[in-house]
Amino acid sequence: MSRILIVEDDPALRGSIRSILERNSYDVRTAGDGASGARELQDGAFEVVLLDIGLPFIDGWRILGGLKGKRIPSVIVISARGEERDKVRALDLGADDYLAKPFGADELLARIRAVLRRAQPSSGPAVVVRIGDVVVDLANRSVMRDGAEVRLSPTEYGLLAALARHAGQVIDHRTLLREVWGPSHADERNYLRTFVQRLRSKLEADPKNPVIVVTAGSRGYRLGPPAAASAS
Amino acid sequence: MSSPNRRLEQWTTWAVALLGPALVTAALERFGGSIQRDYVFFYLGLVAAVAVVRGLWPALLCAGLSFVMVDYFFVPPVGTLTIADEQDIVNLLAFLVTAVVVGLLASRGRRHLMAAEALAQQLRDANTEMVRLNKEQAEAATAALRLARSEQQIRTLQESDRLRRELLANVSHELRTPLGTILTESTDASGPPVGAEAEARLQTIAGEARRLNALVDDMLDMTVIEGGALDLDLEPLVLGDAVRAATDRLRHASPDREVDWDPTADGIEVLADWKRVGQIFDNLLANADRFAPSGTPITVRVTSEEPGLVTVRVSDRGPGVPTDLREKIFERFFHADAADAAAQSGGTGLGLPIVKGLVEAHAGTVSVEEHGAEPGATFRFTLPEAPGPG
Repeated sequence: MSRILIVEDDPALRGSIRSILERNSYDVRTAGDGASGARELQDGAFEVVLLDIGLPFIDGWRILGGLKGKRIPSVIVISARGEERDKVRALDLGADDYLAKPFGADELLARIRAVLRRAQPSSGPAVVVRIGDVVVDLANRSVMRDGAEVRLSPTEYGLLAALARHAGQVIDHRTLLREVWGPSHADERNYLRTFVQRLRSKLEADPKNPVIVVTAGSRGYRLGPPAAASAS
Repeated sequence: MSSPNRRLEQWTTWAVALLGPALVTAALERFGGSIQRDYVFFYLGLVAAVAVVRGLWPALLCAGLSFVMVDYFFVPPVGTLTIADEQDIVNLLAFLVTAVVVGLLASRGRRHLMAAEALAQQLRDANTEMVRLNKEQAEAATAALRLARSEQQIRTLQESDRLRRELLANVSHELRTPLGTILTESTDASGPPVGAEAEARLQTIAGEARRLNALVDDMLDMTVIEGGALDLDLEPLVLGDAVRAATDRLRHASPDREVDWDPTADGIEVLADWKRVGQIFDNLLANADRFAPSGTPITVRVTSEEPGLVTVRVSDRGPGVPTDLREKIFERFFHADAADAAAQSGGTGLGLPIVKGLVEAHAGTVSVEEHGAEPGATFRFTLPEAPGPG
């Protein structure tokens, strides 16, 4: 049973989300303000955090910023601030997904399933992809660079894996978005742009001139040089 | 005073100085009789008058000439410049000295008068200048006041515009949270089972919550567009991708509607904001879908008619837009007919105004075109072509 933390200051919405998640067999904890949300995060291990941005005492941005570098849960920001730049900021700060209020129960459940799926060990084929000094082991979900392990968030890994499965081929934006985030995200190019930046900063020697996660014109992205990646 | 006038005045001055004594002499000769010598004070009067009116030098000339005239015409022996009587020499010298003194005094009086007049003139000039300066100062003060008022008005307007947008943003934010509760509750399929009728009602509630949210989104977009605060994330895009993505989204609302896209136009790229171009197509396709009879396709065509621009046409086979409404339909909350109000079919009344704002933000234009013989509406808009090889 996956543990989910809801940090939301509106009691009606918090209660509503809580009962929906409990009926869907999740183990749910709730917090009504940023301070108690931060305390819950310190005390318990959660798989998913549903995080509102406009919170009393400590706002969602600060909680999100404070999660960096730890063993982190998947974060879905739920916010009434539907602006594109808030979405980009949330993703930049490490959120895995951004769900603008209002949202339907089905949509919320689909998003939770999607982030949990990305965090699950895959049962894919045992394939190791090498691009320069980066090695992606698709069976063990591990990424090495110069022999050292690179720590990626589940979503970062999901995107890298989607590219690695077709290394050397251009994968268009919508296919990548569908594969990593789900069908409802097919047109969220900002997600892709943000996560590609995040991957580049962790994998590339020079993130400004990428050779591993390569932009293929206005068509999409490609891992490594065209169809020349070695697979073993 | 101009130079010719001054010269004329000088000539009359010297003429009066020369002719004055001659005229006095002639008058005394004619009317004076035996008492001529008692009227020498006429000469003194003349000298004084010349000194007052014309200054010292003409007065001295006048005095000298009078002396000569009196000696010649009235002092025995008459008709010569010689003087027989010693008493007459004294008298004549006394006359000359008196004339010179009168001339000096009178001319000094004249100088003072002239100085006073000059001073008065200076005072008058200074006064005029002061009045002029005061007037200018008053005008400058009025202008400064007017400017300050205009600046104040501009600041007030800017402030009220900012407050309006802030208010709308806050209201939208506050609206979304309760909408969130309504939507999550009405879409929760995992709850205890309800009857078919209650299920339908829940769906209606969820649909209305979504529509209310779309209205909030559109109102916010409209505010951003009208405030000139639209932030575009421009990048080269494959236009066909945007059309296909919008077609996919339309399919959720209207699964049976066919969108006819010409795949030969797949190579065309535009320089645009992916989300906003998606919004343009969403709104135009939704508008077409709303008015076209079911079973008829919506056609999207792309041409290159102007250098640097890509022209897109979205056509439907609905009733079309009457000529006189072709500008008006881009106005906020405009409905061609109250009965058909977009509300009935789920529109917010802001779709087309947003299309116009977004197209114009991309430096393009949007219009409704003549559709030809068949019924229907064609929306035409332009987007900038992506630079370089596409």
